[in-house]
Amino acid sequence: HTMVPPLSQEHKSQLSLLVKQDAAVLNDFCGLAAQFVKHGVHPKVFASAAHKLGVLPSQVEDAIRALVFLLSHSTQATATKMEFQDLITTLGFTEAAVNVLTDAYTDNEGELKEYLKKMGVQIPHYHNLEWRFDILVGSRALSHIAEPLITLQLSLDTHTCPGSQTNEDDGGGKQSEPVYDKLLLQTDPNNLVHMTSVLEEALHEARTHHSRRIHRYIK
Amino acid sequence: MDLSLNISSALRLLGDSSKTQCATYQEVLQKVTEDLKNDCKAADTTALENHVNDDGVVIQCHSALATLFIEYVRGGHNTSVLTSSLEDLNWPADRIAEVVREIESCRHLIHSRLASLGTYPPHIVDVDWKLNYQVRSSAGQEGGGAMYLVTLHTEESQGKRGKVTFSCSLAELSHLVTRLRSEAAQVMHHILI
Repeated sequence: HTMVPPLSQEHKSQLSLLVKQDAAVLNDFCGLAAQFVKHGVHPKVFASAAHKLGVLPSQVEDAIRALVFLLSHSTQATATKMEFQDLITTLGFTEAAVNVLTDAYTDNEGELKEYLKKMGVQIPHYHNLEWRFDILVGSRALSHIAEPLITLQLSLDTHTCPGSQTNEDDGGGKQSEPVYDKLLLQTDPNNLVHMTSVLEEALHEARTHHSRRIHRYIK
Repeated sequence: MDLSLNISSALRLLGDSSKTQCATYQEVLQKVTEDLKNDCKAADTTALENHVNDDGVVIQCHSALATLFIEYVRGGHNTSVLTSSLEDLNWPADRIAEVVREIESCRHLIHSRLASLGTYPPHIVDVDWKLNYQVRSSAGQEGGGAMYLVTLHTEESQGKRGKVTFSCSLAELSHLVTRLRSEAAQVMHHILI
């Protein structure tokens, strides 16, 4: 595994708010960090926590983001439990706080790996294709025509990042489903047949001896 | 064909061999045909402006004839409608025959230029693909199955070109190809009926 990169002064300063808190409050912050990673946190939550602690909402948000950074980068470096504990001890956390944070680190390993995937190189991903066949009979520029036209709706998952929620009507800050970009496209019968034929060739490529050999080698 | 008074008057003048000499008529006809066959936006009427003593009449005849060509194709008319319209403007048979021949020679080009006007969704004209197997990423992911990168090349209004790129797994590409195959089969079935 790789070494956990040292935290910047900015991150250490943002985490200092958590260092002062008792284990129970830190446990709540770990819960918020887990929520942040899964589906974001509504700004109202930051404001409510800030009110209870007597600090600004921005300080609470910065602390949670810094905590997420700490947890995710330790996951990325595949830090062991002991290495993680050593790191957070150097930040000034008490023994009880170290235990709470270590539990958060190990309990949320799966979610943190998923979060890291979303932070990596992302390309819009195919979700679905719907289509409709029409005959175009006229337009402002051309009348008395009969052109076959195929309208396509291509749904792509553009991996919108979880983070601070801004939806005013969603007080819980939960995002239960990914949001897909729906692109409206069109084509004609000749290009439809051409596109189908080219993509059939693409499918065939994965089934060749050469492709299977590369796949076995990488696995 | 529905032509305005100004266009009809200019055409009437152009067809009248006693008012528009053969050489001038030929020049206008050739210029209109060239301009519509080449890029219409680059139409240059400076050659016609050499007719300095005609108060811009030749240029008006050029505009009127170009309008006739475009309206003929836009309305999807046949040659008998065109012949009849020009006869109503007192054109002689030889000039009518020449115009009909020239219009039909560039009809397809004018039609495709008119079809590209207006707004419409990006029109898919081609598709590229790549097949990758991921080795490792900065996020710590290792290995992984086949991942396709598909790019749809599109044409939009006014000749703009675009691209839509997305990734998909082998299963997802199979789903897409199945959809396209079924769509193509149904479209072809309806077209052939």
